[in-house]
Amino acid sequence: MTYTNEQLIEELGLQDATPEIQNQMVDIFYSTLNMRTAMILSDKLSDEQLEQFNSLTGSNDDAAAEWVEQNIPEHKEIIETEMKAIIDETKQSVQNMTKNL
Amino acid sequence: MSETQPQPQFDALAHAAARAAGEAGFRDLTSKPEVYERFMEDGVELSQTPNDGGLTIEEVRQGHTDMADYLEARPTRAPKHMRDGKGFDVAHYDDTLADTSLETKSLKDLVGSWAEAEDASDRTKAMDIQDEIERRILNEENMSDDLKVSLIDRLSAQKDALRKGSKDPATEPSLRDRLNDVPDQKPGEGLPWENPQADDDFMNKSLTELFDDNNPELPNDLLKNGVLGDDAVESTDPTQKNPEVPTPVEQGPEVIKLPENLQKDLDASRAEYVRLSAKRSGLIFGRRNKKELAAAEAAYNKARDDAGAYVAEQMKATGNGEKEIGLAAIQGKMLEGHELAHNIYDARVKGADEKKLKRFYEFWARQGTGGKFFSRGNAVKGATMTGIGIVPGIVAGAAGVALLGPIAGALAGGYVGRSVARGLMGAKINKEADAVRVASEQRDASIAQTDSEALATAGAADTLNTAQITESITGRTEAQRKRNRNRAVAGVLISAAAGAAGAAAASHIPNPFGGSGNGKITMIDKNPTPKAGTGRPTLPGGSLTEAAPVAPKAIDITPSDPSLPWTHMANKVGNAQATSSILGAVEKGRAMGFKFNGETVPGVNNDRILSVTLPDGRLLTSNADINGALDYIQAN
Repeated sequence: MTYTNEQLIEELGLQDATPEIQNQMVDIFYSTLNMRTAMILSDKLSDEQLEQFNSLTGSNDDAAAEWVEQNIPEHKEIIETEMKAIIDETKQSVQNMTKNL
Repeated sequence: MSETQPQPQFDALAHAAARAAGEAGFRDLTSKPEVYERFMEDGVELSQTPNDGGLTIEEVRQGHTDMADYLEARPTRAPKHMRDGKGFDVAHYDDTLADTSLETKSLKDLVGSWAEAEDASDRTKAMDIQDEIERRILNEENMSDDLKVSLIDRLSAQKDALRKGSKDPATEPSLRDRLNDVPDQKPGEGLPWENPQADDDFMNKSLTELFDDNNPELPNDLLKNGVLGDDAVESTDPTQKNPEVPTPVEQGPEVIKLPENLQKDLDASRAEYVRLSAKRSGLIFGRRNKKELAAAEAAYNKARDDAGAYVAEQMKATGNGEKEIGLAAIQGKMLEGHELAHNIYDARVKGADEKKLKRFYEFWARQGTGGKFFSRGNAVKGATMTGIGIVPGIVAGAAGVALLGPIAGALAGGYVGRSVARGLMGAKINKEADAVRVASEQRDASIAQTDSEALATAGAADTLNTAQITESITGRTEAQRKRNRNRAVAGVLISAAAGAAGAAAASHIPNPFGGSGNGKITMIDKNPTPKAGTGRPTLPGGSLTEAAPVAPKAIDITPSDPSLPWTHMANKVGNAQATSSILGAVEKGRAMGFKFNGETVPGVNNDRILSVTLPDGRLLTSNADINGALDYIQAN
């Protein structure tokens, strides 16, 4: 599923934070998500596929995007899984941190 | 070492020799993975070893021993006498047949070289060795995947053991330790230009007056009053230390600092998890450390949560409520999670697979600002949503979200720092946080300006209001200071650890595709050109073709010596020309998009160089970086 910012803020438990903090945390969330998915997706590519990707013309992101869709068809699921994973990890960690209070 | 014995029914040596010579005879052996694996294992339990073909236990023992010896010593190609069918005998092994190339090295030697290469940070060689090991193992056609993974696991463990003998990451000082080793700014000093040690005369001087070469007191003025960049809190150059300035003292009791054991556990477990996670993935090496990785992850998670639990308890003890503690915990986890991901990401980008991964990572980073693959929610909190988080994606282009990481961390840390810098926390954290605060404020302003320019081109300048962020943060933290000191501390506590990392990031924001690992800072040229006809960038949630700028050109800056800029320049051009050279470089730099901050400080009459904002908006605060920027400007 995709999240609106309101949904994401609620999922993360940041409803009571200031808008500034909310926005910063949303940014951090997406930055983390981007890095994690980049690593997972690249792990799914063989050396040959990476070479093929690297040989795509210049900075043509449209072609690159199409290539990713063809070669990593499960990319949507990966992104969604990681989104949920980050949220769940945060919840779990916060629970662990505060369980003895 | 044993002599080779004829084995009419189970001639392991003959098989091995044949295999080593590139023949197919090895298949009989490798078709029995458990046998092969045991050959590779030290201390094999012979009683459990399958006994093929009615061999006596002594015959099997002999075969295992010789095979193990052989595998440790063998080159890829067997010596001629083996190819001639005479079998292998270590006693007959001719060292002169081996040369220094990887192909002719034994597995044992390869593992040793691998460890040496990693110790020497020679990624190319380490990669070559891994390739060679992988090639050999993958060529074992009749070896199961599991066995190959197991074999890799063992070889990698051997390599790690060799490395650990000379370098133990757990004993290396953490970032926090290193930062804590730096003498601290006095708590409550606030902004550097509020240095109470500064003379009024000095404070009232303009930049031109300050750097008047005819001023005989110039060196003393600078030494006594100058606060140039973060190094100037106490210069790393011993010649710059002023004995008249009192040594900073430790801050009082309001520090909530992690106990040493928790801090060390967190640092060590994070480092280990990063190290394992950054290893090559996707092929056999990616599978080799699954168990090890899971254990490292669990250790890291526990260390992180233990640290958070400790801080949460301290917060509760100082009167904070569930809500404050919960919010601090969420922020702390997210910042720490981002820092972890960034460390792994950075290690991979700078690692052996750099060439293979670089373009893919760059491409994927560009998707993070609202590209095709991320359906980011719409802004919900008004104009500020288009602030810091999104801006780097526009401005930095290729680095995109990768750059966003440390910036966002620094900004969050900046919030931490502002409270901290007002004397709410201890001197050590104060030092870290102050760096974050100064960096983030000035970066914020710079990004706002740069982004305004970029979006003005696209007709969307009215959506930016990052200054509001700064203003609101300022007001908030001031209010905190006036309310309840303990409570104010609480809101930032768990974030503080990550904020420390943010401090480093802010002062040296890495371009993960550049090369900060080689001692250089890679910058991105300002004003990347949006794609023609794209109009206003759609953020967030816009399409890739609308939002993605053309990748900017990267340029490198090499940090110079850590002396004060004037000293640095004087060493280059002489005392008489130093001031004019600095002024010239500042002026020239301005035309190139550099901004030397501190030339005009609002509310303060004097002019000094506190930091330099790069053309892409990043801020450098150390003298070494400022000097490097001056050098770059002069050379270009």
